[in-house]
Amino acid sequence: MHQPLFKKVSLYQEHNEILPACHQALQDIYPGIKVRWARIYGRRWAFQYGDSFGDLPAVKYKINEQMGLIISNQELIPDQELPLVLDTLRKCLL
Amino acid sequence: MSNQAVLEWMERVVKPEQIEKYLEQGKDFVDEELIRQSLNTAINPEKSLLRDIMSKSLDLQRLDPDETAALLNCTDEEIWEEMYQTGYQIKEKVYGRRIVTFAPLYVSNHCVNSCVYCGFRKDNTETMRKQLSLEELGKEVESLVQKGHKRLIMVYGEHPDSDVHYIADTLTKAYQTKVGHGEIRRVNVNAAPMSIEDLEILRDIGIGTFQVFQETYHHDTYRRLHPRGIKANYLWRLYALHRAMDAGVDDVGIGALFGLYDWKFEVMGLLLHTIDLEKRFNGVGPHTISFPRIEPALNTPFTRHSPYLVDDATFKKLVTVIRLSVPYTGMILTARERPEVRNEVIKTGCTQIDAGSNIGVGSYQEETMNYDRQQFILGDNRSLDEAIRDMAKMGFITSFCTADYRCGRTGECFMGIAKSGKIHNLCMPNAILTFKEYLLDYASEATKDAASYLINQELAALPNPAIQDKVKGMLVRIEAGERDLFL
Repeated sequence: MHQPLFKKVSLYQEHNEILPACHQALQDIYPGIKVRWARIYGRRWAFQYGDSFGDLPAVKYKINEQMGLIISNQELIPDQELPLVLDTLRKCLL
Repeated sequence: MSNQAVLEWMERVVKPEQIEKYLEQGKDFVDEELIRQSLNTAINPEKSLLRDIMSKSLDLQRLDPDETAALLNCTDEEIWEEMYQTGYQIKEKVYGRRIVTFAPLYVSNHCVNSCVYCGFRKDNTETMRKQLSLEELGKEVESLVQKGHKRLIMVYGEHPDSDVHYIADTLTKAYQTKVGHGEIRRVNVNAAPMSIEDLEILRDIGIGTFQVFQETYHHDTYRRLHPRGIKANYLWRLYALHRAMDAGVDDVGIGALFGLYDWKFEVMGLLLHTIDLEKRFNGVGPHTISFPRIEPALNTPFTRHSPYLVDDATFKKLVTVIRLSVPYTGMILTARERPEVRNEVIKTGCTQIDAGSNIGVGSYQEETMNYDRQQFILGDNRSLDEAIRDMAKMGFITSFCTADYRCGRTGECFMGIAKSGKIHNLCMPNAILTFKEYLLDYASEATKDAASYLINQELAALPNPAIQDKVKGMLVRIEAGERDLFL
């Protein structure tokens, strides 16, 4: 569990839906990353929320069977923290 | 299935509440009075006005109806030449020198409708009816994959035998079919209008774009040409894509069949359709616009005698006006058109073509043209390899990219990127990568000779050095045997 991320999400969730809360929390902790959220329908990852970043390459991560996360500038997240971030988001989006 | 069962099914299809929710004060968005007024007011437009409108298009702003009407009414051939050039500039600006390529796959031609211009109409006894089994479909898909296709549009007649559950099963089968390195990565669907609940079933399977053409936006003409069947309901069809958007299928394709009614009216109809979708869905209009011309079909005399048939010169004009009116939307130029027409019209701003097409149900594996199983007769019978080679000679790189809808770049996200003119920054790298796959796995020696130059040319033209380096690395990995790499 990434405790600072979890705390931030909980804080933002008091006044927001879960996706905007996760989005804001990630950007607070890792300034400079760009993130978009997608609902997974088979091969279709349908845009749900976040940034377009149309001119930047990105990496996609499957959070669970329903939700996907697409990150640009993901190198701003230290390698050892990335699994914890994904695990925390998985719990938040249960 | 008995006639009674078919009739009972037909009665259950249309959900009136899923039409009424979109009407405004009981009216649909095709305001015929507005169209007439716009076209009648903008007669003999000044050159300066037309050039101002072209500038607006070049800024990637969607035109208003009176502006589109002015373009349609232009009678000055010199200005038309400028419009063709502007169309090409817009395409270069938004999409670059790439042409997305797909294959149509006709899955079933059983139909309950009686469209007077269509070879598949219920009462056309000369059409041989066929619906693919899942096994037959698998063979059709294998045949297409072996030619190098990655994108399909699967086409279905409207019939209870090809209802949403059949469509879902066939989509699943298409996605599951693999041959060596090859597979279909995006399946778009052209089918009858459905309820939101049925569209949610297709959404969950991973449908690409859902395409429904209104055929004609003119109410009276629509009524005359669709005398019976579910398709007789103009409004059920008109709001098919609104329902798709509400179901979460956020890539939709509109179209009109040119030759049924006045071409200027239909262009205005397409524009009003775009405007209404954008208004209701947070700026998200159609992902693609199609503009097929009516073509001869078996035992269908209307196709040769309609008073509104569009000649080649007019066709080029209408495609250009659509390009200028909705500068950020994909435009599909199909193999209905003859090669010389396609080669000419594509330069006015088209973004997608089909190639190596065979529109007989079950005809790909047989490699035959079965006119008695076709909806109409194709004008362009070039193979995929030939079409790619010809495109390359014209300077276009063929793209099999399917990355957008697998990376969350759909709906609002895609439209935001396209409207800002940034979509090619990712799509061109993906075009290069998928084109490299094609050259390695499927291209003839002649096509390799004619088209390989595009890889280096387009790589060198990528504006971002970091992306250029990334693509170079990916090309090395593809040469080493990896596949399906994308940004």
